[in-house]
Amino acid sequence: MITWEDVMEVEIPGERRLYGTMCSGITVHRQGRALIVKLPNDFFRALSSGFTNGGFVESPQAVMNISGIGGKVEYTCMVGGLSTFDEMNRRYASKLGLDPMRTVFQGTAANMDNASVVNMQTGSGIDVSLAITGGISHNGGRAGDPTTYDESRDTGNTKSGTIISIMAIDAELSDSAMLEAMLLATEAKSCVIQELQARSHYSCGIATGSGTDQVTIIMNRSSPHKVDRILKSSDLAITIAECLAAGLRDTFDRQAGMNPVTQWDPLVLMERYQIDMIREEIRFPARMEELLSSLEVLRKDPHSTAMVSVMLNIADDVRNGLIPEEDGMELARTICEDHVIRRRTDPVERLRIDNQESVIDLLSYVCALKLMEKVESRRCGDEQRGDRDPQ
Amino acid sequence: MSSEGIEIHNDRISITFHDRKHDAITTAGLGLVRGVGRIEAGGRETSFRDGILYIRTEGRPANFSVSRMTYNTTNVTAVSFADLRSGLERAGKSPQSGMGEILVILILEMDVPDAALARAAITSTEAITASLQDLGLAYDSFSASGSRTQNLVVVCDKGSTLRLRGAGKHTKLGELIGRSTIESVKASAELNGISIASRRSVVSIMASCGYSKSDLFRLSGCEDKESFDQGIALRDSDPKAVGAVSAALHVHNEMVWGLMDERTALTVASEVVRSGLGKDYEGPDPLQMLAISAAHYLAGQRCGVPDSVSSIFKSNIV
Repeated sequence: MITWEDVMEVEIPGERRLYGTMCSGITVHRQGRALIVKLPNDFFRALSSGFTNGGFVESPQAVMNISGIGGKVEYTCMVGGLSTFDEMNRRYASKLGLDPMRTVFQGTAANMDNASVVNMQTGSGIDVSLAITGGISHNGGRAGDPTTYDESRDTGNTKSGTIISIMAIDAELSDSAMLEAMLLATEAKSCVIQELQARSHYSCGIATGSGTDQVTIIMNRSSPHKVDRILKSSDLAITIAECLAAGLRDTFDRQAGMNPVTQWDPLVLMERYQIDMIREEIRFPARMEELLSSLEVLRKDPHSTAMVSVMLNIADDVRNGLIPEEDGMELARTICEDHVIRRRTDPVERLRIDNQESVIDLLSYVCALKLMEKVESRRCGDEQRGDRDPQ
Repeated sequence: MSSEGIEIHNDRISITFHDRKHDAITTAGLGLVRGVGRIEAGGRETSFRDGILYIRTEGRPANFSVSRMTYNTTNVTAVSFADLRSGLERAGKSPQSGMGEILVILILEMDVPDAALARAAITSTEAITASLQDLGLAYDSFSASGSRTQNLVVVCDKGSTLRLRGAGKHTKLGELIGRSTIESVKASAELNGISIASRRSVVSIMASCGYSKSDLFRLSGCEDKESFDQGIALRDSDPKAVGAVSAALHVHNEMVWGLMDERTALTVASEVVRSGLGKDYEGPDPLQMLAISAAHYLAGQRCGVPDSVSSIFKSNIV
């Protein structure tokens, strides 16, 4: 089997080309599998949460974000643990002509051509810039979710999907302010993910990030601006959040096609609670072609999608203890029968609607009934009624 | 961190380590400090002197909460204070006014590099946001992601034989950081008067989107404040009403977030309100429709609302 070393030996990184510019004279370049944030002089200091050359770093030459090789060969670097990962990063920096000991490393599965570069300025004239890659379609997670990777025993594995944020602030920041900037960016990241209703892959919750997110904050000692603390009410705090949000939304769309349109899909929303057995709920008296085409109509129906989201919110409120399960069930049942499907009189359907064990089970069953209603209405050519068939 | 190392005094909480081989990273104006032997959170100004890390907080020591989590040899303790009654904040928005505060002191009972201290702070910050989301906390209809006064201290034991480098959510260490932060933040919030139980209230949910009780009284059309208050006492914590108001507010948020168009949002929010509160009233947008409908629901028949909320609701759930 080939290893990461074999691949790195033969790969040709090609020419380095300018990809974008950031504040303080910082330039962003693309070369090979890397995005290189190049610092113009020694007056910079970085704080990185990345594994290799992380922590506070004085006068780094560059901050690098590297795409993994992909496939099984990518995981050969994990055989020797994180020290092998360090070696791989440093060797790649050398290959690209950078000083491996003065380069801050971050790594991801995303392609660097999908990086977003954003520049903003506070009202008081402090420039804030961001170079970001991200995708959480396979590795979104919520803080506190269960995991299997016990580093102390070297067990488990990780899925790909990481948000890498490299943020430069044209001000001389105290170490504390650098950490504050890092955590403000973190909060902004969680807000964007919430606004996209992107799921955790390890629980029923909305993700707050990916499992392996990394952030680097770069400050400029030669800037006339000095910042000891970043209050949450400050213009700088709000600009940091806005910059992160703009870049993250853009890179999610580029890398994973994740945006408000693709997320607004009942099947995508229901993945959070693993609702994937709708086709098994009833033995549909329909041909597969009818089912699939009707399902596509429902997926594009904003009302149906909104109602799914409402049901999931009720399920969330039950899970969080805001309302008891039986009351959540009753509310969900009332909404569904008032506004989503016809009121049912068939004794079997009535029995099943009235006796589901959870809001999620009820939603799954109602989706099946709604799908069959859609098949029937399309058979009748009754499309004038629209996609909704209340009552 | 054994529990004996944590002492709660009248004016401070102190955490004593067995030696001075502890490093800490902090947002509280100090950055990285090495050689920490004790942490004191209380009224003294934030500083680091003679191996003692002082963290200034307005929090009452008795309202701190401690959560210790263990997996195999990996141990994490979160010592938290969370007053979430005011001062909430969403990243990118102006914070709510008030003296609310979150302080999390995270003790990692192993050696980690500085990068992992920062990563632990990231994981803990996400956990704070998750806690606030779980509690459904919001202000001006912004879902809160933190507090305007929020400090984090992450400590590791440089003398430990266990050395870990990963503190992200995909690691067991990260999982323990997330769980201990969430548990301690919620527990302290409850000591300070905010819990999921306190959120079971239509009035409370409407307050989080900018409608005070007096606003609701005004919107209800009710002329008798005493009757309105009696209506609140009767209906405010009805679980189906709470669930419906929460769901309609969620629809409003999804519209603001760009997921759903305004017309669909207004239609769906009205339908949810009709099913959950018995009747929806016209409003120019989902939030105002919700406020007017919630106000009338709370007022009920006593204020002469044209349609009987309770009777309509009963007819809907036949």
